[in-house]
Amino acid sequence: MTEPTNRVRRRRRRVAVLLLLFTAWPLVHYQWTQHYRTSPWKLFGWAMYTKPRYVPTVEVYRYDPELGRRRLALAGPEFARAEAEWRRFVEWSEVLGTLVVPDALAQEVRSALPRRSRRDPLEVVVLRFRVDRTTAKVAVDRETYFYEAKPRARRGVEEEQAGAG
Amino acid sequence: MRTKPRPEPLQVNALQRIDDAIAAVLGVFRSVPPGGEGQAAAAGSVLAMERDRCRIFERILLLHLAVRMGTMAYPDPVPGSLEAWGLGLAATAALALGFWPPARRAALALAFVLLCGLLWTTFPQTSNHGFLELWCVLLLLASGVGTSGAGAGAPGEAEALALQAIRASLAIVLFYTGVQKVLHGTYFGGDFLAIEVAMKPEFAKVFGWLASPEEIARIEALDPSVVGAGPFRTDAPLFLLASNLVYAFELVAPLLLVWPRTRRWAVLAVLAFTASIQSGAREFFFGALLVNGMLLYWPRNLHARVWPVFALFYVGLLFQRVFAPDALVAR
Repeated sequence: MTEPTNRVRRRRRRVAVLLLLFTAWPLVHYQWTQHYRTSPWKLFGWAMYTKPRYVPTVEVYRYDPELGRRRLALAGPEFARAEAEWRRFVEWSEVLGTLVVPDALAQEVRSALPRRSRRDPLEVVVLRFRVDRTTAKVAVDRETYFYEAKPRARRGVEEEQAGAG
Repeated sequence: MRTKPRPEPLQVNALQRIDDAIAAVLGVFRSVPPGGEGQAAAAGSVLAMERDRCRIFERILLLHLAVRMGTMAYPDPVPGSLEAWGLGLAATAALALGFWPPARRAALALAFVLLCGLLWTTFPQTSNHGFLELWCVLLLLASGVGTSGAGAGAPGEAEALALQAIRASLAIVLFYTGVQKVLHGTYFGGDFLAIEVAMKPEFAKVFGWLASPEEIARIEALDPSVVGAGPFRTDAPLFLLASNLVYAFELVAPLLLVWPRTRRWAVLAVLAFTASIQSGAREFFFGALLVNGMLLYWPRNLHARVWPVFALFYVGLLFQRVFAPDALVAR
């Protein structure tokens, strides 16, 4: 009965490989939470109940040539698709952190603007709340995505941490 | 006449060593006969117990999936509710198939496909226990549970392998919940528990007695949505002790589960620990999944005795969602 025994051995090896991946992933998950600010509550890293669960705040700004930097409310039927994309980006950004970028959001907003404003620069600001490990006070990390008014939108990114000292 | 080339001795030895290492590691998670290691229990009786236990574990898991997916169709229609209804019905079909021995593997395969679909549609917000459900079904399939014919191996062998893998997975999950708390560093000063007390009244009820009323009032008065609010930290001795015991327990419990002499106590301790957390978190589906898995560590086949409790629990949850959906939120 060599054949069934070999099959059983192959199953054990298969299961062992699965368990090895299962064991290694949480360490990768931790690195992602530190480097990409992914959510410890999701993505099966077993880091639930390690940090408070904050939903990022996402704000969209338009640089009006006369009025300057103005925050866009994304209200009204013309912004329906932009608002849907905003919700999708918030949901994905909460979990995947800086692994997702708001390029699609910027595109939808630009498409929804009046024709005369479509070449205005746009700015998407993502605010991520956290509790500072040293001071145990609420702090916020800010990511700014800048979209210039060019045929091919270019994204510049600034990251800034507001410590809670 | 030689029909295939004989492998080189070095290759055979390396594979043999790998197989021996795998068997040794998985063997740590094998079922322990009643009375412990020293008792002479026939291997066949252990395999028979594992076969029976696995069958009940599977059916409870399929019932869990049917109720969880079914309750997503209630009580209010949401966008995509047609899919939610389809999912619930298909999961119920998988449960029904699971009671028919020739279709056992097909039931698991259907459950696997449904769970992959659920993962696809809910990603990235998929719950961790949703992944754990998928993982258990995957391990059952990968171990060959439900396979018939010459490739099945000795009766109960596939089930024993599956249960060893599921036990190992639960120990890994429990251990990593502790490791992650240490790595993130939010339990040494009671930071996380303090924030939860400030954010959630139900946590304040569970953990509020660990510090003075004045300290609890100070923490509850902090607004976690305001930059600069804090510190979310306390020097109340009981609060700090409880906070540090949480990850210490999660790091030690898997070792106690693995060691045969302490296995029963470890199961009871893990279940009590989970109940205390879930009294605040109210994640009923996760709690039920964990209990179903933890009972696999019990030396005897406890599943054979407690499955009616699981059945009542899930039917109760279904009735609650249908007739009294506002009574509680089951997650």
